Order: sequence, then structure tokens, then C-alpha cells
Amino acid sequence: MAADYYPNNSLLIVPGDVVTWYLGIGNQMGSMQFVDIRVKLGNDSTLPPTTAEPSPAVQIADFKQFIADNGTWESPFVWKILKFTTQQGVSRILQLEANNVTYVVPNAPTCLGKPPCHLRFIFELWTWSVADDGFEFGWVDQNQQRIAWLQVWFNVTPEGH
Amino acid sequence: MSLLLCGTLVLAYLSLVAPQSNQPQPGINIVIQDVLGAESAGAQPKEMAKLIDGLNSVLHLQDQLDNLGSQNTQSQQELQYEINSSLMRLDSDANRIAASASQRTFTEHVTAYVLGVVEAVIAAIATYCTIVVRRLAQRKRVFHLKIVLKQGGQS
Repeated sequence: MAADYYPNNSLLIVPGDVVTWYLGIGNQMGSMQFVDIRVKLGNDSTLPPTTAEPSPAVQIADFKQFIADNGTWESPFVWKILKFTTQQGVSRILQLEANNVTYVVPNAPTCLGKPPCHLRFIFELWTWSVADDGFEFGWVDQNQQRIAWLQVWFNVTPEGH
Repeated sequence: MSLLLCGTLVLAYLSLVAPQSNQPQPGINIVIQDVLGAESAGAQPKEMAKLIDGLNSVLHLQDQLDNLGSQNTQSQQELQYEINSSLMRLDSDANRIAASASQRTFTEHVTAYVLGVVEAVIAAIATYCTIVVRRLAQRKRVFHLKIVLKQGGQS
């Protein structure tokens, strides 16, 4: 259940609550891979990723790693909301911390109306393309674009729960 | 036919272990290409693990560099130097591993070919010996059937 991913088994998050997740990747591509997990923040109306393009959601952080063929990589993602504001009926996260690094979110997704604010983290897998000398969203397999992404919903409220 | 095959194998080996041209400091993409080249040339898992650990160490250094304040110029320069040195070392290691892996693969192929020839020769000799032994056995039987005539009507 989604509640299992949050402290006190509740999807309702208060600024200061520490949430611990682990991001895992397995490489079965037949060769070493250079990957980049991009963490984005979205709301109800944020477009999800598609095979055509990644999500336009604001990027909070990213984690890069080289992974051996048949190898796995697991990285902790420990986060908490530092600043959450509600002004004139619009709520948003202003600042959050992930893996002890503080991120200011200038274009944070907003929620209209009273809290709780329904938000989600979107995790996208990007891979290094030697031909393009850069990361591409997903990977190409047999001339087809493949993507891998995950999302986890949560509710934010400034009040105690 | 054997000479033609040997010549082809030698040419293939030489093309695989051709010395890399002297290049300026490699960027990350060049290093990645060379590491992937070592992998496809047959680098062993331990060798690949060492290269990948080195690449991840470079990522860690880059993170430190990105998190440094803009005023900390000396630390930035030191970190950048360490990153550049690491990339050069990794690139050199990858090329060296690719060369030795190619040589190892070539040696394995030649060994397999030679062993195949030796096995064929042994099989041929064994077959010949078997035929010779059988023929000898057949002669013995024929030899024993020889009738000896004695003089004087005596048996």
C-alpha cells in the first residue's frame, strides 16, 4: 500500500517529516550503463512522461551512476519538506531537502484550495547516449524508444496530522 | 588453406591491438566509449568492476565540485585537476585492458585452432594404427593356414 512508504503509515506529510525511500535499478542491457535518475515534483495536472518526451514537471534533483552489466544499484532517497506555503488559496512547496541537500523549488507545482496539497514525485530513468554525447530519456531497443519511470503520491498539509 | 587462415587471424589481431593515437585529455564520452570498447573486447568482470568504480569516483568528485562555493577557486581547481587526471588514467586503463583482452581472445582462438589440428592429427594416427593392427591380425590368421608338404610320403 502507498501508506507503507510514509512515516506513521500515512500519506499526509507535514513539513519536517522525514521520508526514507530506496531507489533501485537493475542493468540487463548487455553492457555497462551510465544512468541518471531525475526526480521531479508534480501535482494533479502535471503531464506524466511518455515515450515521446519526459514529464515537464520541475526537476528537484538527479542521481547519476555507472552500473555494470547484470549489476544493480540501490540509492537511498531521504527527503523532507522544509518550507510549505499557502497564500491566497494557493499552496506550494518552497524548499525541500533530499539526501541532506537543500533544494529551492522556484517553479513548484501548486495546489488550489485548502490543504492538504496533493502532489507526487516522478522518477525518470535517463541513459547516456554515446552517439549524442549526452543523456536521453529512456533508451533505444531494436529501434524502439523505451522508457521507465515511477511516481509516488503524497499529501502535504501545514497542520499536524 | 591453413596459411590463409593464419594470415587472416594475424591481420585481425593487429587491427584490434593497433596503438591508440596520442589524444588530448579525454572527455567523459571518450572515456565511456573506451570502457565500453574494453568490455566488448572481452574484459574480465574484475577489470570492468575496477573501471566502473573509477568512473563512479569521478562522479563523486564532480558532485563535490558542483557543491563548492563559487569563491573557493583553489579547491575548484584542485578538484578539477583530480577529475581530469582520473579521466586520463581511466581512459589509459580501458585502452590497455582492451588490448590485453583482444590478445587474450586472439590467443584463445589460436590455441583452439592448434588444439583442433592436434586432435585431428592424433585421431588420424589412431585410426591408421587401428587399421595397421587389424591388418596385422588378419595376416597372422592367413599365415597360420599355410600347409607344409613333407618328402617321402611321410606325414
